[in-house]
Amino acid sequence: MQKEVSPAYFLISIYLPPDVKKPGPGEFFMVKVGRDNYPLLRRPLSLHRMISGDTLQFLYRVKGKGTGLLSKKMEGDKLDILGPLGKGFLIPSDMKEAILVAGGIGIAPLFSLAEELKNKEISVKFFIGGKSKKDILCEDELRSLGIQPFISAEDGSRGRRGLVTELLEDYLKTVHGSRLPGRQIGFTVHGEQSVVNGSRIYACGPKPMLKKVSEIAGTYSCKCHVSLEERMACGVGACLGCAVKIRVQRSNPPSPPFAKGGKGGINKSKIQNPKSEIYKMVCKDGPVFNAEEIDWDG
Amino acid sequence: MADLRVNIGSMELKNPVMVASGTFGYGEEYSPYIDLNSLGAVVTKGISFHPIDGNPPPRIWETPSGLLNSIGLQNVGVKKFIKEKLPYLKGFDTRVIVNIFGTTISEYVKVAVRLSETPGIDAIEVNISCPNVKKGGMVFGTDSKSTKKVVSALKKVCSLPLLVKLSPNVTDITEFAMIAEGEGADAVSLINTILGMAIDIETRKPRLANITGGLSGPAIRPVALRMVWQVAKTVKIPVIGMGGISSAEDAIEFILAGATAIATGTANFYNPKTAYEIVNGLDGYLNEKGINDIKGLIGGMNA
Repeated sequence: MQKEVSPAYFLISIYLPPDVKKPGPGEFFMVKVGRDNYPLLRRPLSLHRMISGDTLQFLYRVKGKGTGLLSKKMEGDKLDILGPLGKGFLIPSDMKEAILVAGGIGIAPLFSLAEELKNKEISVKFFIGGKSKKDILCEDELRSLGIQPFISAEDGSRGRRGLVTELLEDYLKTVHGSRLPGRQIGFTVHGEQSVVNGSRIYACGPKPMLKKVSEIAGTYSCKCHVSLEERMACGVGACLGCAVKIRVQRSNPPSPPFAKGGKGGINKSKIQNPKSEIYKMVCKDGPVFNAEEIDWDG
Repeated sequence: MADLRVNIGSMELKNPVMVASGTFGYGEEYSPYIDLNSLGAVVTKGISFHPIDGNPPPRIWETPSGLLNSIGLQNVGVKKFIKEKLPYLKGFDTRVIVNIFGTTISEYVKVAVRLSETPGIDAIEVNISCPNVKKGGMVFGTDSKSTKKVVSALKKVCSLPLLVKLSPNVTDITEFAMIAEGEGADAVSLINTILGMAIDIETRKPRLANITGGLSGPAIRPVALRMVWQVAKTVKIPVIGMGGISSAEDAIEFILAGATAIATGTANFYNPKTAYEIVNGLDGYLNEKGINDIKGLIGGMNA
């Protein structure tokens, strides 16, 4: 069964046979959307929601031919899916508050996370952003969970006009602003001690949004998990197609720019010519990563 | 049950179905989805002496019935392969063929020597045909002198059966097959991917960060089949056919064209059970046709 919940956004429900492992929030499936060689590859879709233990839901946006074909599936059709795959969202037991940030279709995996967090009685703040009101999804469903989402649309057609990252920043400034350290935090500072104690940010959306969320999380020394999307062929770590660049680990981290003394403390040759670029695979090492691991400019 | 055994040099395979290098990881990645014991052989991801990080993303792009990739030979290096990847593969009743490459002949030799000294490896496949790296790979496989040098150097140090994987990005692939045979290769495998590219017309950027990539999948099958046929009638050593094979019917075409064994590649990505299905399909076909030994099918095209 499926329905178009907003223009170009579809929600498909699939009955899962009992022998299939139940997916967790952030995990995904490789879905064969066509027949024969059209299209050739499976499409990765994250778990959106599990309903009554046997119904799997994907929420997706029709973007190309593959998702277009998927949107034509009718009730009673069989779907060939591989999974659940990947490493999903980590929920530490000592967490007090989860801040979820969704951009457009990025809400798909975050919804099941919100459900799980609610089950664990962890406080959830949910920020939803999109280009326009048609890109703002799951509002009512979140309210049914007892979550009042903060909403922004870039064109002002719903919620506040602007970017969801601006909403997030305002929230953190208001609620956690007094804890903000007096100096700017450099890119090497990400200790176990979180300035925003007991809070974590979970984000999914377009890469520029995730980059900004990661920067904001860094400013507030708040742990941040991001769910990434990349084109993939296999979904199981074999093709090595879905590489994401990871920050190069240096044995002697350069001093932050504000360090006193020395010659600025940055060894330029090392930064420009890192000895080893390291890639991780979105399908196997992710799709959820610690934001601080990712080289956002890579 | 028909006899599916075939020989590649001194190595006997229980069936002629292998999985192609770069499309099956190190085996472990696919073991939840296909019984590795059902395969004639597993060919590993290409291994170099030092670990290689690979090319920047985006690395793949789907095309009609095909896949463009430019992974850039990312691999863990020979040391880690032997320590961490090989032990797992050794636990299965299938042949282990290790694909190797280097940026210089001495690097090829160093990897081959290390692997020859390691128990549990049945054969080495030499990659002289990767289109996605600046040094090594296809540089060796598209120049006849380099092909001769690398195969001859490896044959001197390598006691294991040596398979040479040929590039289709040449004017006459039979020339390279003959060189490999002349230098003592035990078999040739073909084809590697065909050099291709794609452009995003909105951003005007290439779809792959490396601009060009290797095309694989059903789109290249007729080209691969033609080349297998050309090579099989030129050389006496066994030919391992690959390029877009995704069903038993495809595999039979390659065998009829002269392939002694075949490998599934891109099909593993969209149907991890492909190789297993082909083994069963071959048996079914032979039984239906009343052929009791698959060797009777090799090169059996009526032309």
